[in-house]
Amino acid sequence: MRASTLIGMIASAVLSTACATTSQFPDRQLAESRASVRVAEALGATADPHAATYLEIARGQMKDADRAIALRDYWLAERSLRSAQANAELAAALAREANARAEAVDMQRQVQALRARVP
Amino acid sequence: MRLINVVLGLSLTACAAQTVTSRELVNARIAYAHAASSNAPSDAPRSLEVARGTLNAAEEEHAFDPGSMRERELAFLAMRRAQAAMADANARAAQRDAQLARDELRRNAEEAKRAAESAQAQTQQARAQAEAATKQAQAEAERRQAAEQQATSARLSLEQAERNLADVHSQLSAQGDKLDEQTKQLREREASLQAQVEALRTQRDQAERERADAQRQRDRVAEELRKVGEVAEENRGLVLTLPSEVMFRYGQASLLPRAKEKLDELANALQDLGPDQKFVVEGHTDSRGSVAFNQELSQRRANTVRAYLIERGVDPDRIEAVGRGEVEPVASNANPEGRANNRRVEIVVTPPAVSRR
Repeated sequence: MRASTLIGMIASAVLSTACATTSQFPDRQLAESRASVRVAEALGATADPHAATYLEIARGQMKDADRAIALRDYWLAERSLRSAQANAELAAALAREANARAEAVDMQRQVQALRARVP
Repeated sequence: MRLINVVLGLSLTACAAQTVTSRELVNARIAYAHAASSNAPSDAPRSLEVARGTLNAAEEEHAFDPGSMRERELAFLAMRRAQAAMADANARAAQRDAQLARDELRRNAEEAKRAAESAQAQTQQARAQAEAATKQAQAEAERRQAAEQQATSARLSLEQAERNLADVHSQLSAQGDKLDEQTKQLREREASLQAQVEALRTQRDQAERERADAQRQRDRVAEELRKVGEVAEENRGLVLTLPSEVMFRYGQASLLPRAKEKLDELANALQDLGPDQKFVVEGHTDSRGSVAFNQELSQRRANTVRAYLIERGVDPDRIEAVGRGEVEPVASNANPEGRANNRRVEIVVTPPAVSRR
């Protein structure tokens, strides 16, 4: 167990190192992640608790990425940005779901009201 | 790089038996299985496919380098994408629900619109009916007003007619009273006239009786006188003519014996006539001798006759003597026969006093 962990860590370190060495400034990923966060915000992810949780995580990861970029750790920055994009996209999907649910509930409430009014 | 990977893969394979699947990959598999068993395959197939692709990459990484950073990172992305696919599917289902509700609302709105249009049409129809009814009611009201005016006019006319009738009644009543008064007066007058007629009739009957009496008297006188001589009925009365030859000597006034017999009969007849009957003794001569002598002779002869009758019982007041002389001849004095007729004494019985009234 310890040996395998050790080996994994070594492998990871090798991989990371390899990646780090080959990493460049993640301009494309940064743009995509920011766009994903903006989309989630625009969809009202802050209004839905579930979506807001992931949006908050995404924002934190965006800051992590900013800090990594400041340290020129582009590998770590790109990882944070990818994770932030995934969280932001989930927040956006959850916000869309919440919006759709809210709209459906609203519509069904109108239908109920109408049915109650017109037997 | 490739070389290194191969080395690493070998080293990892060597360790695989001792390596467990990373927590991230387990979570990704669970999340994907969860999504795949939901409505995501139908409602969010692209999102699910993306998640599947990411999970496959993680599985490949796991197969190549189990528990690697890359595996864990890809597994995390796969989990998030599976979760997002679930959310997309849920959103799609919610959108479908919303669409169903929207469709129902639209149908209801359309039904409501149709109902509203129908109601509006009914309302317009009802309004038109109401307007028609209002017009009808107005026309009815106008007709009723006209009828009331006619009735009022008729009532006024009737009242006027009743007043006129009352006037006529009062006039008639007054006229009736007047007529009653006039009738009463006329009845009284009629009664008075009737009484007068009755009185006149009585008077007439009386007069007729008296006239009949007088006629009978005259008839009786004539009857009595005819016993003495010739009697004529003239206007001045009954005239008994006694020829002078029978009564007197020529040129004298003394009576012959035969004359006294006649005058006795006459006196009886006059006595029978009653005390009220008056008569005149007239003496007449012919035209021989003077007028004065004849006048005087005729007077004396009349007086003689009157005196003899008075002597024989006749009331002197009933008898008058008149000498007429030669002026009232009854025949021609040119021949002896005529002269003999002119020499005469006439007893004129005047009509009874009653008949002369």
